[in-house]
Amino acid sequence: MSSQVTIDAFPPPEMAERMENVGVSKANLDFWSMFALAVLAGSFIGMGAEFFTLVITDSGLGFGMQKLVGGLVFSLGLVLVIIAGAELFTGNNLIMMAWVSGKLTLAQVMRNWIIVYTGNLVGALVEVTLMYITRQWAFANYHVGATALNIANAKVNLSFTEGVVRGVMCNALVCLAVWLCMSARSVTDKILAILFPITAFVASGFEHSIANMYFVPMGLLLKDQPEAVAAAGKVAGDLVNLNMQGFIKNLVAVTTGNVFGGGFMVAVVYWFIYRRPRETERRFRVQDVFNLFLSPSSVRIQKSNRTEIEEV
Amino acid sequence: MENSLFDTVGLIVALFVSVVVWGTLIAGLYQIVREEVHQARTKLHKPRIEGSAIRSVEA
Repeated sequence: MSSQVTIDAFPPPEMAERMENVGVSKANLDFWSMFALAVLAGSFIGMGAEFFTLVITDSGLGFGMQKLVGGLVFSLGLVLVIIAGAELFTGNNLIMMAWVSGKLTLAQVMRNWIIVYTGNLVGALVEVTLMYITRQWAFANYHVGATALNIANAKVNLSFTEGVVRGVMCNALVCLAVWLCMSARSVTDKILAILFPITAFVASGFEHSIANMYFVPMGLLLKDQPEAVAAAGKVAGDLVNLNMQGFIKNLVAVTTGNVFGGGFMVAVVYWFIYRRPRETERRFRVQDVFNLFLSPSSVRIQKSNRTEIEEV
Repeated sequence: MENSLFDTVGLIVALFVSVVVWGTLIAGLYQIVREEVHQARTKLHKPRIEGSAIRSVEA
């Protein structure tokens, strides 16, 4: 008589369905809620990045262990985003699943991405400003600032290809972390699901566009602090690429990679596996792909007609 | 020799990713513009008689 309580994780087909529904509700948020949640996500990722910078400074650990610990503490950012609730551009690349299912138009997806990306940038820049004012970068004889400067300088010196491919790898892992969270039933499940993919991407040195919105501007500010530059063992000539142009170039390459890694390599692939129209319903045609870009409303109509037929 | 091969492969991958992603982004932006234009046109051609008809009925 009593209702059966289960602690089993959601199986992947259900995860895909939940992901689609989450995508639809995310895309239908009103502007100000979406923007405010995006600002929060930008600052949450900034907090993770700041924690990472602090912890890896003069840790005395070997290379691998230092990366591992750095990755673990960086996970704070996504834990805050998922548990507290916020709109993160890289995670929202997964709403492509609702688009390819025909539940959203590409315009709705794009509107979400533009608002969320802008909000994330604002949040990250607010976080940079606050952290700069705290003078945390002067800790450990300016070595925290030196670490931040070295991180930012390394990022702006990446080639376009490196930026894109590291971006692809990064967001594949970030979106897999979010995807794993769809299987979770409790806060503990979600935190455990987040830890390993995020630690892996940070430890591997992959590139996250929103994290870079914290790291590179922080480096741009610290570039003008002679103590931090000296502690980093740099001279002015070593930091020539650390400027606004370098920041934008890095963001373009990394964001491109992030969208592909999260949107196409995770969302579209899992949609294809679990959510594509089956033989019994309707044969999947190449024309459907073109419809998604050119006439999304017709795809939605076809889909809703099919549902009505099934219901009848 | 080997490095230049991987450089070329890397460049091809980066270009492929860029074309796919930016193609999608541009298509999305085009759809947003098309929707906005459609909405603006609908607003422009909204029959003004509705309001006056309601007022006259209320009167």
